[in-house]
Amino acid sequence: MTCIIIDDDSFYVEFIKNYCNKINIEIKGIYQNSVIALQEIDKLSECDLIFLDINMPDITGFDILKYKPKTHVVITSADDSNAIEAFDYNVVDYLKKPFDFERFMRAVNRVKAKMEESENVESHLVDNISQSAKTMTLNSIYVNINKKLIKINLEDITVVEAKGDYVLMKLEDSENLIIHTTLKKLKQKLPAETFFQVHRSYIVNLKKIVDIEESTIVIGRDVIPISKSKRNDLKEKLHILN
Amino acid sequence: MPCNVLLIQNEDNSIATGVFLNNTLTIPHVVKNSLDKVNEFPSTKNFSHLIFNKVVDKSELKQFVNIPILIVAENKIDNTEYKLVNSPLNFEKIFSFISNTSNFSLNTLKEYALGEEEILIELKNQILEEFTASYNQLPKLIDNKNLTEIKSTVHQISSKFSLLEMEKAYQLAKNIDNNILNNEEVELNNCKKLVIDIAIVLDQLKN
Repeated sequence: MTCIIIDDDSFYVEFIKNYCNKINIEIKGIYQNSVIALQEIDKLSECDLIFLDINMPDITGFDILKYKPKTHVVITSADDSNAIEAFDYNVVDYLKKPFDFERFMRAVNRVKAKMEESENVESHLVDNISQSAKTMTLNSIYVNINKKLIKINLEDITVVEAKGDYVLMKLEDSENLIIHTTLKKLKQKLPAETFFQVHRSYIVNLKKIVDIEESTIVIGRDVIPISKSKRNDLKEKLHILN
Repeated sequence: MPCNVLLIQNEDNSIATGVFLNNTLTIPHVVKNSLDKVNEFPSTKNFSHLIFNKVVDKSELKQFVNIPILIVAENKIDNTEYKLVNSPLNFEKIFSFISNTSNFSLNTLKEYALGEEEILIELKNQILEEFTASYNQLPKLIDNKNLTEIKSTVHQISSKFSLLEMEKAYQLAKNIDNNILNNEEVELNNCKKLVIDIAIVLDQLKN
């Protein structure tokens, strides 16, 4: 766990430092001047916990809270009359100075619990997203053409042909596109239930096939070769009876 | 209760009230030449310390059981529960009596230093430095009625009184911090009393 101490009172800086050292909390910064602390508000969010004094000259702890540092805050103040206002800023705890080690530990444990809680929420979100990705049927992809991202509806793609460092994407009722990528990379983006690589240079949209010969398929006006090795797989995909 | 000394003496053995002053401090006090007169005051409960500069009978002390008592040594009194000093009474003796009978204690600070001597010394040094600065600044701020600066200075030291177990001084400091901007006269007077508590802290930390 890492922390930053913001307190203009050298005594309490020493006091908190001592407690932090006892339980191996790494002190990433000490600000005895709250003006500098506010100037470096982004840095403040780089730690797990801020010990923040309220009554400081020029810039108070509340002024810093108004800028919503993106981390956990524990208030350390000699005056408990500010507690209600402080909790409006979602601070984790409010330590009235002076506080003993046991009380300090309670505050640190509350922060740890909050951290674990947010880690669980994050991991739950990641699980959900990956689950959604697995079950979601994509109906479009974005391709980069001349530094612009262009949305392509998958149902408009008929054939994709490898052309060296590029691919030629043929679209139904639209102009063909030349995209700087490989067939392999593009294949990973396309749903396997709809798109099938029939040849080392061709991927086709199975829904657009109008005719199948022994070694070729016809899509629109294009005749596409089928590799020998792919013929049986294609038949299975299309539920063709022998 | 903030420091407020009751001095009782014989009329023929009176001392100058100058003994309650030094360059910075004025110890709040009331001088009475007869205990009978003291009894006329319902305010005897309002004193923090009692000094007898007269021959004293133990029965006279009954009503002051809860406050520290200093007896000037010419009195032959066979009782060690009271502090004794030789005459003549002077500022140093009075202040030493007040300081040594205060609630000052390092026990809480030791506990907060988690038993580490180095940390304790560091924390004591921090307090010493801060209280020395406050002791030097506050009388000038009081004279100039610089209320904002007084509030800030008192706020900064208030919680240390609590750490040093000087609960009355802590309450006094908190009251000053909370009220000085609205109740100037009363709190400026309280500030003068707080300077005595600051002096006690310095005296105790240096000893």
